[in-house]
Amino acid sequence: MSLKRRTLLGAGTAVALALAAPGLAQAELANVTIWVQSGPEAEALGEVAKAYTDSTGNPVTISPQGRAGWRQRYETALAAGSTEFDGVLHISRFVPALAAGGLIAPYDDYIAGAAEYDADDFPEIIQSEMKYDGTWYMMPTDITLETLVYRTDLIPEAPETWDDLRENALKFTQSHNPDSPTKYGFAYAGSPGNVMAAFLGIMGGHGGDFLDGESCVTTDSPEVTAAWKMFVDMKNEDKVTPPDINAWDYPELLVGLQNGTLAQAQFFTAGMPILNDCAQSPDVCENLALVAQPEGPMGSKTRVNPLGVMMNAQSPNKDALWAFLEFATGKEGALIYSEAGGQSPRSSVLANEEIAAGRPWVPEVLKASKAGMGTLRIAESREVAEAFDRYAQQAIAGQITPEESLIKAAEEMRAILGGC
Amino acid sequence: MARMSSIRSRSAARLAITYLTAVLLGAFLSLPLLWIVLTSFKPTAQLLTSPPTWIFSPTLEHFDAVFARPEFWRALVNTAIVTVSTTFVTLSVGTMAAYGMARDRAGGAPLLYTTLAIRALPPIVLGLPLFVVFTRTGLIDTLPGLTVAYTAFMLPNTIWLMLGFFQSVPKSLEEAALVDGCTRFGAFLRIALPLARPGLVVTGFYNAVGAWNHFFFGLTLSTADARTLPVYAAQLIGEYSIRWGEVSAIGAILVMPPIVLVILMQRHLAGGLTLGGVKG
Amino acid sequence: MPMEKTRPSGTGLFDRIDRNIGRVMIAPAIIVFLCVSLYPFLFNFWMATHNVSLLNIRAPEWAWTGTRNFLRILRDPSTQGALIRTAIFASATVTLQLTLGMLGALAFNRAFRGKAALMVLALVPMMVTPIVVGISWRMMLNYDWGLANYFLDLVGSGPLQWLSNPRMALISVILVQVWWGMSFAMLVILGGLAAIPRSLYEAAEVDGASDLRMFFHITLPMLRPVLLIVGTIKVIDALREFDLIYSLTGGGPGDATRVFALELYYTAYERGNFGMSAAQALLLMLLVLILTVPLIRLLTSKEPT
Repeated sequence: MSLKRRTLLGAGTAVALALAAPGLAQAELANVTIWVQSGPEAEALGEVAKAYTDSTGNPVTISPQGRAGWRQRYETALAAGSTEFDGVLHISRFVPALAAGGLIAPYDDYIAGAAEYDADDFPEIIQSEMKYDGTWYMMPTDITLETLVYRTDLIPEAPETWDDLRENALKFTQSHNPDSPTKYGFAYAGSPGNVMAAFLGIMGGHGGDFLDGESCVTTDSPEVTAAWKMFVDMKNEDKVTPPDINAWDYPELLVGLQNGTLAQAQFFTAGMPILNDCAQSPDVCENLALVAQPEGPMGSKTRVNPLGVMMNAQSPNKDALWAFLEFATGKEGALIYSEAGGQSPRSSVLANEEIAAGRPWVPEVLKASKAGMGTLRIAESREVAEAFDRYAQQAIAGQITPEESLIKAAEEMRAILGGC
Repeated sequence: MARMSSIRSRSAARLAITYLTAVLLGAFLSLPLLWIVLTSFKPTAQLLTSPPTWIFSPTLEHFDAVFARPEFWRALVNTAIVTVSTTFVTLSVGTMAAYGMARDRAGGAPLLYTTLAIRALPPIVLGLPLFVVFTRTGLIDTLPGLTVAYTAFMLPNTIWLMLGFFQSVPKSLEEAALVDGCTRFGAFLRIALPLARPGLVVTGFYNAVGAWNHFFFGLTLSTADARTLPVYAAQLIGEYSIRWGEVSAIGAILVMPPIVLVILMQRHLAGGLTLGGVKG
Repeated sequence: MPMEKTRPSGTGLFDRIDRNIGRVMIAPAIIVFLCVSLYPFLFNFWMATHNVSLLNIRAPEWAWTGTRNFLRILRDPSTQGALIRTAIFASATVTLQLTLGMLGALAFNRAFRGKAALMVLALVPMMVTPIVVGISWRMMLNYDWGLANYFLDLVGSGPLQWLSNPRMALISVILVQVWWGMSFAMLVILGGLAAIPRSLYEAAEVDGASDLRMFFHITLPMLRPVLLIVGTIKVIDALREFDLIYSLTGGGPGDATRVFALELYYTAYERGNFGMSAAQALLLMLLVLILTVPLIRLLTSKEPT
């Protein structure tokens, strides 16, 4: 071949390769983007992503997003058919609505095809939280519980029943006991959208629930009414909570625990590391412990709040996302994740002694994973929750009686669900 | 004599009232910012005590933490670029439109109502459709995209503001210039604009500060590359805790450029306007 | 009255453009509106007349519902409550902002020692980003460790439930909104004051007019366009205020501070009904137009001499 022809051939091949390269690159190295709220989960997932990329060469981008309007933002993106992200990490509460709307994609086929994934390593309640209508829609990365945090220097033994808790609260509220070192004996996040989470423990302890099975509304049942009355009375009758508790969100709770205002509080396990860190909470780091929800007449029920990654139904990189998630939530990745600051719900990880050391919530998590309370698993879950929240807020503010608020909430829930 | 002293005491009274009002307002309006700045220098352990801590040993730890992150600097650059471009575009487009509307009633009532109607839509409502449009045109997470969104958001206000200012400026000077052979556009540039200068300064300041501090579209239409400072600050609000020290530090930093702008603006807002041509 | 086109007529393109300069100058603005604001508005209208919720937003077709969403929101107690709250919020904040803004502008409209520094202080609220404003006030109004109750304690008064008592919460929200927005009112009015020729006042003083008379007979009339503009802007701002209230109270306690913009948000993202939310948005626009039509009429009728 003449020199000219060889040059042409070489140039032509180079051009062809250059044009084909993106396609080739895409086949192997599809960049997966996962949106995560900024915080410990984002950092831990970043570690796992690093390990994954190191071993497979596939790039993964963990994109931390702020809390402001978080859910609204990713919902808007999903609703608009955006492909800005392939996966999004959030709590399981929103899975039913998103799945029912076809905004997130199912994982069943992927799990079935992954021989070594061992989905049954996740406790039953976690599995049900990840599903809608029997299909997996979220891969679990974390488990957190709504537990009771209390001051061990003031309360040597964890309160066993709700009556115990109430007694402690009375003893450690300054308006009842001027010698109390803490101003209020009990607190929770009472701001709009948060009351339900704080209430679930006592409701379950009294044997109540919002729905029975998945169809009939039982919000105004005697059990729920008894629990709700006790809960609301702690603020309005006993006055053991801050009077402005309906404006408290988790940051206020954290500050209240850190600066010694509170003796007991409903708090999520994920926030414990900050409380136990003496650099951030010097006054109380040695004196705070957590325990699963106290018992009511029907035992102790702790609300389980797992987090996981949902798959964008419009994502063009579904296979690549699954490849990463198979690793990240598989046995190996879950361990890396937990070591980096997360808390995987895999039974194998929870049983791991190295992980458990220094994490006082692990025994509670094990307990709760056997007797925990999940979130509503119906497509209308959010509307139902919003209806309850609205009347709950009025009851807490003292505008209507607890009983009245439940009756009104139940009425609205029945209208939404169109049933009994 | 009596009249002279009454004028003098009048001046004294006016001065006193002026000072009183200015000081009271200044104090009420600036106290929260002073608190933010104070907080940004407090050691972490004393950030939110009950009762509030006034005496503490100041620390630069929060500022160090803020400056240490490259995302902060990126957000700073992004915000600066978007602010300058938005102010420039909005001010030019808006001022021209306002002039046309003020002098020629161009667009008439329909245009006025349209700007109002657009102004009336809360950004929340625009969130979803704008996201769709920007996704399709590839403007998501880009600085030009943000400029477009900010401009559309601030244009109605700019038009309304400059409309008011142009209407306060008498037409007589421009009409005289036309008789003398000036073009309409020339009258706009050489007479109307300088006369409306206080208005331009105010509107420009409002646009610049508005763009600098804007949150909603920055939040909805950017995901990583085009993130602005206010959105970055919001990121420090975690699920369970707010990094008060750093948020306060960023708040303090964010306030600096607008303060500089205000100082620069002072000169143009001196009381009373004298331009030789306006006879009493 | 449109300006006299007294320039001798030329026939070149440049001359033709210049004669119609008014229309040419509004063109860029119209382009911006058409490109960026028109589609969202039409999209919103489309959603308002169809059944759209989170459950069916990605379905290929939405069911037409015509005016059903509008009728629903008019009967909806949540929307009605939001309307009432918004009316209270808007009237209180606009009145206070205009009044205080006027006072401040009058004070700053003369040179005095320390003016520059005080002016910077007075403009501070405008310069702080809303997120930081919301969080800072939230902490300052906290019942237990907030600065507000600390000061109340110092003067011997009892602590107030700023953000958790339903009635008090609305007052607090109004307070923060006025704090945040009055600087702008003051600034714009100051700009308007600066454009009033000094000679008018000097002449009046020579004639022996009192300060009050000068205010009502010179200042106010000359400020009319500016005041109308600021008033309109503030009313519209009040009707669509979201960021500040959201970061302060989230609409709470309960729904005590859930003004219209927050109601829109709740309907769309908590109740999951985008169609209803879009209908509420259109209702808001309608209200704004109704409220500001008289203002526009006044503006386009006559100009001050």
